[in-house]
Amino acid sequence: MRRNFWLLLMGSLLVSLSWRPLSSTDEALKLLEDMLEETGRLQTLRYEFKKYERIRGKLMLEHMTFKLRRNPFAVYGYQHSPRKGVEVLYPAETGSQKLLVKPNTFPYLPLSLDPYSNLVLEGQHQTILATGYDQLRSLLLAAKKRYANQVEKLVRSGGRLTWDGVPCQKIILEPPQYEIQTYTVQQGDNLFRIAEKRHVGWYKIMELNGFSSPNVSLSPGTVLKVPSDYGKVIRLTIDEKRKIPLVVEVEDELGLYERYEYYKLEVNPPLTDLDFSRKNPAYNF
Amino acid sequence: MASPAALRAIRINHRYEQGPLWRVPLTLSWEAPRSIALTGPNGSGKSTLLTIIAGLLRPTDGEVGFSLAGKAVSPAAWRRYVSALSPHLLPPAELTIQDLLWSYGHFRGLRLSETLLAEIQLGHRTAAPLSRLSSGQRQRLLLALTLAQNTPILLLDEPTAFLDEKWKTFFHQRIQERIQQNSTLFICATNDPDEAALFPETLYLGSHAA
Repeated sequence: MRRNFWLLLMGSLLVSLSWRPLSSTDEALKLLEDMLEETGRLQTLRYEFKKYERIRGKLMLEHMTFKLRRNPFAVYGYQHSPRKGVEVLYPAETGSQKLLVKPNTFPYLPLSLDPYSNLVLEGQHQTILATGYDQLRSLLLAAKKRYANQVEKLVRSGGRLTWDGVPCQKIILEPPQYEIQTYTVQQGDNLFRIAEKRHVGWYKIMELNGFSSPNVSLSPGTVLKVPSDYGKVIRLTIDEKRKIPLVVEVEDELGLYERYEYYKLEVNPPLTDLDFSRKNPAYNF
Repeated sequence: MASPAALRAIRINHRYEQGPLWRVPLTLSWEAPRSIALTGPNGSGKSTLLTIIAGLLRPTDGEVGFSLAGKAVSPAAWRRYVSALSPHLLPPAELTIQDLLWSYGHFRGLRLSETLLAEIQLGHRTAAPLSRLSSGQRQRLLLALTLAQNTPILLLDEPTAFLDEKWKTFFHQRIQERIQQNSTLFICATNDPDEAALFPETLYLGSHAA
């Protein structure tokens, strides 16, 4: 009798598990909303970061550790590979708009650089100012607004999985009308401004138009190719409990464009000004 | 920064694809204060030896040991105490004069930036990236910055290349002043006999060349 009871219980559990609506759009939308809210509430973050970015057709990997404060914005990063020992700090000093970089090449002196300069952005999809989740938030909010009448076509669930030991849910965003459009350069435009206005990546515009650097000078009236959305497919692996994305993967018309993986993510760790100072004795500036 | 530097190289040689650089391996034991000119024809290994001394290249044969204030240090630690100017070790060409002055000012204690720039007649070009300077202007800037650093090790590779007579004379005076301060391990590779003559000692690598 007792044995039958357990069998019955397990049977009903199995049924209820298989009955759960894993790929419902409602669930995915709810999770997306929760994620936007939670990432909007973050104050500080600490995490290990693996970034895969398609640079001139090849996928490049960088492995970093980051500490981030959202307000006032500050980032410290340590590179594990490929250039072990490189350190970055933004801002270089309080009130500065420069990035402090400790290169691991001669003359082994930290450099204070414009974060938008070609030297800093060579081989990168993002500026240091895009570290964290704010850029992702703004492009997701833009997509939600653009496809407000067809969100059920934009968002769907991609099931459950475990990432870095954390139970996660995947959601997939597929802008229904992703396409390459044209954009006519206006007075005062540069690639960063156009990318910000359109909520797309400046690297993507650079790639589409065959520019060799993001600081190319644009004359008004020039017609550029610009994507309609940040990506053709965006896949988010979201920590079920904390509602923070741990993997962000973007595909465009050519395939994988970028993939960002977060490991050992700490939400709101107690970070102080010293964590964002070049005078921190643990840093090598 | 006033920790005396010492270098010991025991039977070192460096093998490139064509074979070893030197016919006879080199053994050196140099301790600051010491100022030495490295001379010898092209291909005699002056630049390679400087790169080894800078702690940037490990020779294929032999052993190199570095020490600061009597304590053995790793090549990585040693490199932080080296000021060097070499055509093989140039800062990124996108950097501006201001960028460089900021770095050398904050991290090498250079406070002379304005005087220094006025002296080498580049005060009007602080916003220019290195790529926009003429080869003479770039050499003046980098040489002045290298000489102004008060590090225990100072290495120069053909420091007055690209300079006209006027600037050559100017910098030969500066080099002589550094030699007279007599506090550093100062090594200079040169093909210019006048420059080599500034140094109390010369190591001629021509007779070692393979």
